Amino acid sequence: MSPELHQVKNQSPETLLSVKGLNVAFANDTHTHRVVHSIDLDIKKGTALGIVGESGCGKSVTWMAMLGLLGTKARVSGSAKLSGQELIGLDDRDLSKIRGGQIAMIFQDPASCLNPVHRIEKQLAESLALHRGLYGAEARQVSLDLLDRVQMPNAAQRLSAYPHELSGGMNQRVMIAMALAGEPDLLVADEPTTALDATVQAQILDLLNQLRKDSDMALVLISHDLGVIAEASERVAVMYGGRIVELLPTHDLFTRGHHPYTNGLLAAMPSIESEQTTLKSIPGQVPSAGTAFKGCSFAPRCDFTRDDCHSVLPALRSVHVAHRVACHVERAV
Amino acid sequence: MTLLLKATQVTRNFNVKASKTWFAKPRVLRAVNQISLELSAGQTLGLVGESGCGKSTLARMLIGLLPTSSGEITFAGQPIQAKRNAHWRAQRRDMQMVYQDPLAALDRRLKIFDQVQEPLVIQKIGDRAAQLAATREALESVGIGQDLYGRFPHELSGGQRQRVVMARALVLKPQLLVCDEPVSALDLSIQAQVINLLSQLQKSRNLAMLFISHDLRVVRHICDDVAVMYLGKIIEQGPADKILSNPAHPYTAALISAVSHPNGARGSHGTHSKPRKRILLTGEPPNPIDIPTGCAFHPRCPSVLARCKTQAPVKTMLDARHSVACHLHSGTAPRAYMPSANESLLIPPLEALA
Repeated sequence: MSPELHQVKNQSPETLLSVKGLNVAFANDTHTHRVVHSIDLDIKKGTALGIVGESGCGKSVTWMAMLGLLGTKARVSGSAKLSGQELIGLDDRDLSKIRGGQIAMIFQDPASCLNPVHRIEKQLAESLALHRGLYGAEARQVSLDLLDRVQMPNAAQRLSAYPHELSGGMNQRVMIAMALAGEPDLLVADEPTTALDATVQAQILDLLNQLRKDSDMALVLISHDLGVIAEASERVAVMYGGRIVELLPTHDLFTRGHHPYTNGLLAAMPSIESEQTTLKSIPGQVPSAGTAFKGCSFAPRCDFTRDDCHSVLPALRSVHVAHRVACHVERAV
Repeated sequence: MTLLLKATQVTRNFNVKASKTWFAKPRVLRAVNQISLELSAGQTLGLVGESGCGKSTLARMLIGLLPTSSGEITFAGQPIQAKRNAHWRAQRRDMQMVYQDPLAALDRRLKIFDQVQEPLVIQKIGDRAAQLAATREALESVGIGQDLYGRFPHELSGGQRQRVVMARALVLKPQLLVCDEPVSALDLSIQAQVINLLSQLQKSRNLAMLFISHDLRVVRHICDDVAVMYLGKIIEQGPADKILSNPAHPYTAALISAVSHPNGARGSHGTHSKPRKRILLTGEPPNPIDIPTGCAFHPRCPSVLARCKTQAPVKTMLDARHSVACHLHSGTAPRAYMPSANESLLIPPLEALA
């Protein structure tokens, strides 16, 4: 993105989604496992937020909870307001208008999200009928336009193809086209490039960036890959153990990361330029989802612990402009 | 260094039915096309390429799990055959494999100690006491403590499972270890632990290692040499630091530029480093059943020449260890890959990223 565009967006910050104290827990007969703890987030129109974390940290569950995709066992509390409308506790009929309409979501494995027995055209037409009330020749024309927007080669021919006839990258383009069918204000992309080859991953990330600029759509990019996050987001939320432990502008992530976990992740990442040295790994294991901690959830793996780390939960505090961190330990940023 | 594994002009064809009519003749998919490579003791060779380029097929042939269509493979001077006779079984001892998904590679109904011991039982190595001692040693070397010996695979974390798979591969003290995407299923913080362990074990045991990965960053960390595959052929091969910092083939250059750069080193956030242009390949890797004529990469190549479309490039040595198969280098004087003047696509020099 050009610097001018960046500034224009910063001047007109209109909050699209405001999340306050979002909790998610799963209950079975005997136990309640809390997997997401008091998430606070604001997303402004047309901005891109990256969510990074390892498996079981709650990065996907947070967004699925807002869209009511977690089923009956999940207990969701807190507040998530989309342009002023409360999403938590909304009944399913109203929520289904928002799903795919105002908030669209794409997932990791495109082939398993598409219906294998229907042609691409029918699947695109379905979402167009649902969200825009388009049918027949009109829907076909809009489907074509959508495929063109996601830069699908030979779009007209692809309409009559089945998902298995397309490659992984092309299927992901179809998924993005379907997500765009409802002209969403917010696109949540959950590991959209993890299943794709490196050269195709680069294409999809460029496409997502392009679409966001063209349509002023906000983007939430969930990934475990810091490189992917760095390329397609403006702000990053680092999640660990069901909480946001650090929230900072992306261009500060690699130089001004404050939380020991953020810096641990950066050090653990092999780099293509560096010498063949020993990687700095984070000792211990990733806690499984729902593990309860009294203090900071990262304390058992942290090199900088103080006494209160194990007993007192650190709250998110501001350390710099637009930079918040949940850590007791003071360190020069 | 002693030469351990040598493959000469290895080819593998598969017959596939690509037509919708029932009685159509099967078509030939050439997954691996006349590949030659050598691997010495203590050497690590990284094999990189996109999905469907034949990396795993090549690896399976190299350790005799899959017969070749033509070509010859020798291991420590002995020919490798895929025929499962006594000779084949004896060769298993010296070559082992580590797989991508540890949960799928382990037996879910066997305790991990028994699993790691099993190769010794199958190969009838030592008496019971020696087997127990060797198993303990293997598990210890990968950092699995005694308290985990009696567990089942599902009771372990992903990183621990991959360590068990490594212990099982190492318990026979092999000379060659083939790792097929060993860390791509692991979380980042755990991935670093496993990479470090693998690197340390390889050095301490002087293992020859073939390391298959699509992640160039991991390859850079583990491998001495890199071979880049595209549609069944090795298009560039040489020392890892050289290839990854100064690639000669346009495809290698594109693969490297597609690696997402952590240092925010791409245009949009270029406050700390110079904006970095990337070579964005158009299109997807072609289907290996319809390999393009001439150079297989020419439909996606940013520097395509007229003869690339008709004439397949031959391997050219750029120096003693660095070879490339590309018409840009088939002239007499070797030169580095330079995009033509009308392209704005450039790979930045290494200093620009520091």
